Amino acid sequence: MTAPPMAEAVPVAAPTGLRRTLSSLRHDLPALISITLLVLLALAAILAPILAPHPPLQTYPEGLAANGAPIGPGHGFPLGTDPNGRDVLARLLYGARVSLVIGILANGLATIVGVIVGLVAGYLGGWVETILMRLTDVVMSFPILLFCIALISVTGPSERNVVIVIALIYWTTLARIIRSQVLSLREREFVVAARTMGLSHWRIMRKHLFPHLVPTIIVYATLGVASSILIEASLSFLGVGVPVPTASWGQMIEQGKEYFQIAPWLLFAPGVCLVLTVLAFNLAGDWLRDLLDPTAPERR
Amino acid sequence: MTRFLLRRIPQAVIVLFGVVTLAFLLTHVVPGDPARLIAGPNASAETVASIHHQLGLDRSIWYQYGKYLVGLLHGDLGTSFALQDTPVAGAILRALPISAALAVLGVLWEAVLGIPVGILAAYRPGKLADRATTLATLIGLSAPPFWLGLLLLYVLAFKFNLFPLSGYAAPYINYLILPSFTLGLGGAAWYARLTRTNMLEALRSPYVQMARAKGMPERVVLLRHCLRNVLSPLLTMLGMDLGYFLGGVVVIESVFGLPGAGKLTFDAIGTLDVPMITGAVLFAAFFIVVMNLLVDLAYALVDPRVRR
Amino acid sequence: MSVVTVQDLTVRYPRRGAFRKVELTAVDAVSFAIEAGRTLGLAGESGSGKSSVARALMRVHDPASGSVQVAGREVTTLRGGALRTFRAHMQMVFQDPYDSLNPRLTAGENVGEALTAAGVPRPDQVSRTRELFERVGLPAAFTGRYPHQLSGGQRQRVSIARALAVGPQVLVCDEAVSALDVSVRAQILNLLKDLQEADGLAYLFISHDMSTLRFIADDVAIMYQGRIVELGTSAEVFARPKHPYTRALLAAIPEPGAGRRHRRGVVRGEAPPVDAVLTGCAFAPRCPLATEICRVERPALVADAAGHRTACHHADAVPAEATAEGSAA
Repeated sequence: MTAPPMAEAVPVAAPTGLRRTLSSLRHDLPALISITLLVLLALAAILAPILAPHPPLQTYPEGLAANGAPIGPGHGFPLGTDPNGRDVLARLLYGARVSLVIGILANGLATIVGVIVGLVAGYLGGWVETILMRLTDVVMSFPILLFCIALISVTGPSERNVVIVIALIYWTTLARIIRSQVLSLREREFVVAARTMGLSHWRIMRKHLFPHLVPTIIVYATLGVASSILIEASLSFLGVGVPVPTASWGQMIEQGKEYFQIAPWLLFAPGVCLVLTVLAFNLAGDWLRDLLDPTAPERR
Repeated sequence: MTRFLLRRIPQAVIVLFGVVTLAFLLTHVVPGDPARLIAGPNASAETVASIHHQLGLDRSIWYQYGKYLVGLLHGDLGTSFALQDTPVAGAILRALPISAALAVLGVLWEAVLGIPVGILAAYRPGKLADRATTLATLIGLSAPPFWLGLLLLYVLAFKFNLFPLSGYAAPYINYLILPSFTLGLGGAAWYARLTRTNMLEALRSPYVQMARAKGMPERVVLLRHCLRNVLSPLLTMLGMDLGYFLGGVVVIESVFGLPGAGKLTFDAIGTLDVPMITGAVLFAAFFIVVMNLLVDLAYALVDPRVRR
Repeated sequence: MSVVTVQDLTVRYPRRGAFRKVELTAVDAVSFAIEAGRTLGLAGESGSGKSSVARALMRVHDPASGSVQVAGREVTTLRGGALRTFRAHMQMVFQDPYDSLNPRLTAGENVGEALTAAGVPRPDQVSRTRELFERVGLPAAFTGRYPHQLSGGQRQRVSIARALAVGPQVLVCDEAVSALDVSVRAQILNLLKDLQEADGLAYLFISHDMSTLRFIADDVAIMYQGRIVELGTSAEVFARPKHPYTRALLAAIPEPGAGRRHRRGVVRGEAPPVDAVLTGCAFAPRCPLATEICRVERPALVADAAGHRTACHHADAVPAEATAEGSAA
């Protein structure tokens, strides 16, 4: 005979993730600001064709003063024109697309690489770990921006190359963090249990390690978007990022550079957009870190 | 100590070798043809091929790599494609003093601005000064340096005429203040944040509680008991920053028109001057690895536990 | 016939010393055997190496030397796929019911993982999981609950169900009931006994608690500082303990109905640091009976006529009755 089921007190389930998230948002002003900014940014990017008063690539002869200088805000151009007589507001809106898409794609790729490297190195250990972590050291010793510039200058500037190059250089920090987490996770009893059951390495990594890394990944992926957007802007500013005439904030600042004494709005508008976007991602990352706290023990 | 050096120096050499290999392969294997660029869009296939031969690009990648490594051992980083007959190493070495001055001043700004602000914020956490610095540091971390630089140029150089707009001439320091300040701002924000966090942590520790219980004035507690523990990790980070800056800060040098190593690299990019680009990347990586090594060394000298 | 035969098992852990790599010997030439349907209890204080024996058996940590045979096959040399397939023969129930189940999976999914490892096709897994839950005394509805919604005892039942899922012949229980309340502990021990009777499982039951072992074990091995110092049938060891260390352990058990307060910490002093270089008997520094020979010569594990083995120079010198009083003095 087996023992009857026990009538022991069952702990109450923790509040659902959504409820916790929302209540944390109410009490956290910076987080609220960041989410609002991100929503606005996403709307601007998605609705750019509707919101923009002019097409972003169209040059208007009437958009330039008689001496060929860009004109200031007003006169049918809400934020003025650029040195080519194009509408600044339209280019800003379309620039949001470039920043977001490149930032998210590049950092998404980097996150995938970082997670795989960290997970495999931490779980398998031995010579695999040695090789992967030495490789991480090497990539970390590269001067990041310089290396991106070098690579893109050889491959030719294009959106695709910018994404790949940022991803190639930006996976290292996450790989190190994930590895150290895996090193402590693999000593947990449920992971040892999974090994003694005879599950494959692949399944252990996928089902028993990866889900526990998700909070960390979310936090660092969010913070990483901020860095990726900054790198993209820097590359575009240096002329090795998104190729002209596509609107990108970094490249708009580069164009404004030549005219900033007479047309300072060419600097202010894209610069403020960049700062707010990067700030929003940084704040969101900080907030998620407090909310998910990946360093805290797992027990609820 | 010898043991520590014996372990750490070969490690640094291996990393450097990895950097050389990766940098060479990536700049040589990826598509893109410098010969075509030099010859111009209208050049015939024969011209391109002859330039190929001239530059040694028609040999196998492994031959080129081997030749590069042998040259490297003799301190030869090859010859520039674009600037005829100019050795890469010499060109970089000539530009280096400017970048070095910029780097040292930049790191100084980071420390001088960041650490006191962090202490001030930690002095009364949650109060106005703390909140203001938290916001300021977040913006400092989020603003792209090239934009900050242009903004400073617009206000301080153009509107108020306090600094020269661009270039590099005697008195040199006038031309370096704004660029180095811009360079240091982002780092300063980072250090202010770090100092604040570490100070608050130190303030909670038992030995500080003890000092307070003994009736020490708050200022003494803060400066004598906390700061010492907070400072040493910051110093190592400043050391690593110096390593990162020494290789040339492309963006800053390009904004302020400083003819340093960064500007050299930037110009080399425009002409697809592969040896020059590779050389610049190697120089920069070399500084990073060496500064890391020196920082570790300093740490080991101060803290015997690290030596293992 | 023995299902598990362990010969001269030695486990070492690398330790980064101040100047050179030092190795710590956690298990030192341990030998024992377990027959089908029987339970070997492995006792000792923390740091005695009993968990290292379990981890070496399960190939969580590879042993430095020695042989482990399970169902007639050498386990220590298995690699890769062969090792994974072989793991079905031997399963483990862990100590911490709060850590041994994956918190991101439901109780049923935790068991399902073991079924997957055993190659049970997915459609059959649900019904098999329900059967297993029934066997360990859990309602089938519990398959959908998460570990944090279960009590410690219930979790340990899930752990047992998971271990049974692959159809093992040997179950290693590493302090499997130590974290549980006394009443729940008895229920789990009864469950383990029932399962053993039904399936003829062999148990290696590791515990620092002698009263638990008295209840569940057929044979008992006492470990001290990585070595087995006494090994015999449960009846023999509990009735006539020969090693002074065993006697001290037994004297520390609270006796039901005994008038006087039970004595704690009967073994005087602390165990020496595990890496201390010892000649002679490892227990000598704490032993009330220690003489010159104990400090010089390491005692071998010697069997008496009844097959009761002891590693002590004075095993026969002192009458068993004298121990409880003697060691307390």
